[in-house]
Amino acid sequence: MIRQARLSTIAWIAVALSLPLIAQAQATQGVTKNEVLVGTIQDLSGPIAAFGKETLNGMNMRIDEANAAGGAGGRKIRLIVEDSSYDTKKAVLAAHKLVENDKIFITVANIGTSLALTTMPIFTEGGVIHAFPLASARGLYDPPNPLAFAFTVPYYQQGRVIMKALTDMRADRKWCSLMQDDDLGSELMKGLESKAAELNRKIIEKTSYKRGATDFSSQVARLKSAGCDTVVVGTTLRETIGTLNEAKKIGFAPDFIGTAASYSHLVPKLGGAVTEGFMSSHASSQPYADDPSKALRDWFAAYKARYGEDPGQYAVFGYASMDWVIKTLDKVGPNLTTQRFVETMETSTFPRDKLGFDTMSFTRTKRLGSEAVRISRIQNGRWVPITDYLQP
Amino acid sequence: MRFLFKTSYAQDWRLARHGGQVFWYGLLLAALLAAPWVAGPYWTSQLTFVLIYAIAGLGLMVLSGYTGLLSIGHASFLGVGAYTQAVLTSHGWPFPAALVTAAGLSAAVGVVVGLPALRVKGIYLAVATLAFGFIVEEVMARWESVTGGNSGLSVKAPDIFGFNAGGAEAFYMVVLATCLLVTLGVLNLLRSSTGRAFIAIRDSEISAQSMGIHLARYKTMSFALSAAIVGIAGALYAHKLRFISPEQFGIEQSLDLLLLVVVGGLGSVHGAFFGAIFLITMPQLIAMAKDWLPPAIGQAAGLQALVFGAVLMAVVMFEPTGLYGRWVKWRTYLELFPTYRRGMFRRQRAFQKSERVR
Amino acid sequence: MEIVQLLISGAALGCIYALIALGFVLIYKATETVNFAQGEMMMLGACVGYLLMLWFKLPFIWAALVSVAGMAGFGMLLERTVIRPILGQPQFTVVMLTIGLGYITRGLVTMLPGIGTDTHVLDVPYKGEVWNLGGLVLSAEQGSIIGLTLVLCLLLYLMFKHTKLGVAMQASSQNQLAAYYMGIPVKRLNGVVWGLSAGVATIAGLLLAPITFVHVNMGFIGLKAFPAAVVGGFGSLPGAVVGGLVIGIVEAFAGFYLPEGFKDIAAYVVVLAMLVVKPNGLFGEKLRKKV
Repeated sequence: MIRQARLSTIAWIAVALSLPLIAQAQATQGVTKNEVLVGTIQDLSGPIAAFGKETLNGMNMRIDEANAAGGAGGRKIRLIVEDSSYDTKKAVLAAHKLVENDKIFITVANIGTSLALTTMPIFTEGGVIHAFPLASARGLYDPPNPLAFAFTVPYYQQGRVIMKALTDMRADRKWCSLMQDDDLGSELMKGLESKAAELNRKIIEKTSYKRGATDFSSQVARLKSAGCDTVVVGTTLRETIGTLNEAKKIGFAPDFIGTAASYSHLVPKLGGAVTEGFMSSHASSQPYADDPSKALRDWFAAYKARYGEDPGQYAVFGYASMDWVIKTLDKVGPNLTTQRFVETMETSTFPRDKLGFDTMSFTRTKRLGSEAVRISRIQNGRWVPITDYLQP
Repeated sequence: MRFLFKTSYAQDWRLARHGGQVFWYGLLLAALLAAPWVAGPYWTSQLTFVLIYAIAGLGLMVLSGYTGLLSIGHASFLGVGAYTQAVLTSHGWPFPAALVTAAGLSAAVGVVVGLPALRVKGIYLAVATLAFGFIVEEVMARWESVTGGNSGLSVKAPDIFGFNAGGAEAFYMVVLATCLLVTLGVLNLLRSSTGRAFIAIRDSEISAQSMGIHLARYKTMSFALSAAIVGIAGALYAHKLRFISPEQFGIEQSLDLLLLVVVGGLGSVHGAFFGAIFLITMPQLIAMAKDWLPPAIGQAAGLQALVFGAVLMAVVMFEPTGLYGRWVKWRTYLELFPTYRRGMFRRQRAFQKSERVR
Repeated sequence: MEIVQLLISGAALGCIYALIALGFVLIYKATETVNFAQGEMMMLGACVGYLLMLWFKLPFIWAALVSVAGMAGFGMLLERTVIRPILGQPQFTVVMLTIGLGYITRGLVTMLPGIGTDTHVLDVPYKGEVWNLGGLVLSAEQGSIIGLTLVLCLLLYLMFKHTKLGVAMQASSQNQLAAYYMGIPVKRLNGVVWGLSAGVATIAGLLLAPITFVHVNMGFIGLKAFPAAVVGGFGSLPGAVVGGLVIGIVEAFAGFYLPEGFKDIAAYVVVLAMLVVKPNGLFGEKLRKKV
């Protein structure tokens, strides 16, 4: 009897001692008792380095806020940053490094559409959650991948909202387009045309330019001679201003509307008076120092005090994406695994916050937070919303 | 010190000059074969990229290093190979057949690009290849029905005789095998009369013509072979990245390839490999060194461009034979120790010859 | 009417290419090397002008003069330190060197505190002015480009044809050894030419800045200047201007009349057609070695 008792005691002690080992063996990659590893691939030295740096600033601001308050779900967040220089092979190597060497738990706010599409399988197949890339492509959330979440509304949906919203404002329009010849332009055009078919409209003149072009005289001349009164521009910062300047020069004054790619505080700042009346579709708000919302004013001031420059859209994206991740980590709590994070995210709803995003919600099959988009116009050098969030 | 006694003509054209070379290259091959299991997935991925770029470098080396024709649009062949492979494998073609077709189609495009080469020289040829590079990139973007246009194209994993070679180790083996075959092919090419004709064309076209080398035929052949090899590299590149889009094959990629061959060592097969190692590992080294630099420099956006440019200029100014040339000098120093003479590899003073009357 | 307007826009665009091509041709004419970093020199010149106006509050004209002079000196320094050591090497070597130079320039400019990776606006006194000539529109920026291109081309052409300096430069490009024998200070001449080319690039950059804005990648327009120089014939200064005009006008018309995408490759199709028809360009010289 004593021997039996001793044996069973020994057995219990053995099991008790090995429990931590078992727990360690099943521990989630990138998660320790005190720390959770977050990775991100930004462009810090390539064509959109300015955006990459801004995103990083936004992310770091949110992470430091969380760490100062004791961490997320009881763990401090450590951010590992990789630089892709907007080069696909560097992004692939960075993704491998993050998954296999650094062993991160989740990757957030990776920048660049074709880079995200290429690196997402590396993360998801390695068991790392791929969250909120700063990239606009359907493939990032559809077909739904258990480890992928997205928030940027692709240009396809933005095109549909543009067509619908402007038609609602005034039905009789002569639609034309000036598109950058890459995925921005082609996706936007597909979205416009799909809604146009539903509303029985047609785009009567289409023009395009190569990324980096500086001269738009022949395109704008063509649009003017076709008699357009509504021009959708799939352009980024410099090309938007170049097009508006050219149009003003030849006395061509249609309604110009762009996408989130041209929704930036730099457009009125660099373009000046010629940008008055320019509209863009977007899915978040441009923060201003004298914004009507106090929460946004405080956020603006905090960012400016910390980094010495005004925050733009990318700072908002960086901050918001980390914010959703941190809120989910808080909800999951100390017992953090990939499975529990995903399940918590799938039952989460993030209401409209100070940064202007629409309500974000995720389910097993819905991996894009919200498809809704709104339209703003430049008035007196500021972006002012003229519609509410509209579904595509 | 090693003395090579040549006792038969066969020794002149053997691949390995002496037993020592056989030993060292054998060791290298063994290390490369063992790499996936020893080094882990991250380093395997890097090695795969190095080998793919080495193949592309070999292609450009045949054209620029051995035939002396400067080409600034070579990424277009990479793109043609990549898209051909992507489209054919998505239609169910087996990997080897698609690879051969990709090489063939690249060679055909290479012949078309090489047509101006028959009439123009030097900088004019460079601009012609630049123009072709832009045109091919635009065609890839506009031909949406085949290439998917600017939205890009997904590529399936390679399927070799029914065996899915998509995993890291399996694909690395495929790339290694291809690289070995291509290297052997290029070495054989250079040992043959065609290779000697290429080198003759590089050194002096008029002399080559006087020796009976048909310039048009050999230049076209050089373009075709170079394009075929780069097309093979492109096909492997497509399988590695699993997603391709036209912007990956633009002027930046072409300049990267040029950087590769020049820094590696123009005019040598080893140069392609040295250059590929430089191109792939330098960004990682820069990323690691960033922490030791003052923030104004370390965190600057243009640090990598600065380092690449500085290395390129240093190589061109101080070591025109590239990294491989520097390695040869060190090796010679070690082999001849202590009888190495300082002036062994000194360049002759040269006066610029006008290219217009070459 | 539309056609004339297109011609004017095309000519203005073409003169931008011509200005940069002038810089290429200048160096090629004197040293038979091609400077692939010409676009970056232009960008550097524009950045210097912008920083002078930003930090020292100089008015535009003074900032322009100082930056042109400064960049000319920088060009001479560049030649002395970087190009002279490889004098005598084949053309390929110098091309690669200048490509490396371009990389370094882009990298260094992003480290300048005033520029970084952002886009900046250069405040020119004639900003926004538009001239209306009976229905045809020409902006002051475009007009200044056309005017200065023609003036520069004329001055440089006269220099090469009629001054001793110009003739000496041409001689040293054709046969350097013979030029040495004739007592021409080849190295000093090379320095002068590079300084001149950098000055021309700065003028191009300052004139272009109102249209393209000042940012680190504004030099990529230099890639289009190559076809312009090739079409005109690489050794000819009027050729550079004519080549630029041809390319600009073809682009303008292609953008208006042809479907999408053709405008971007129009320049390259033209250059390929020219190489097939007339390999040495419109005004290029045809030299043949007799054996």
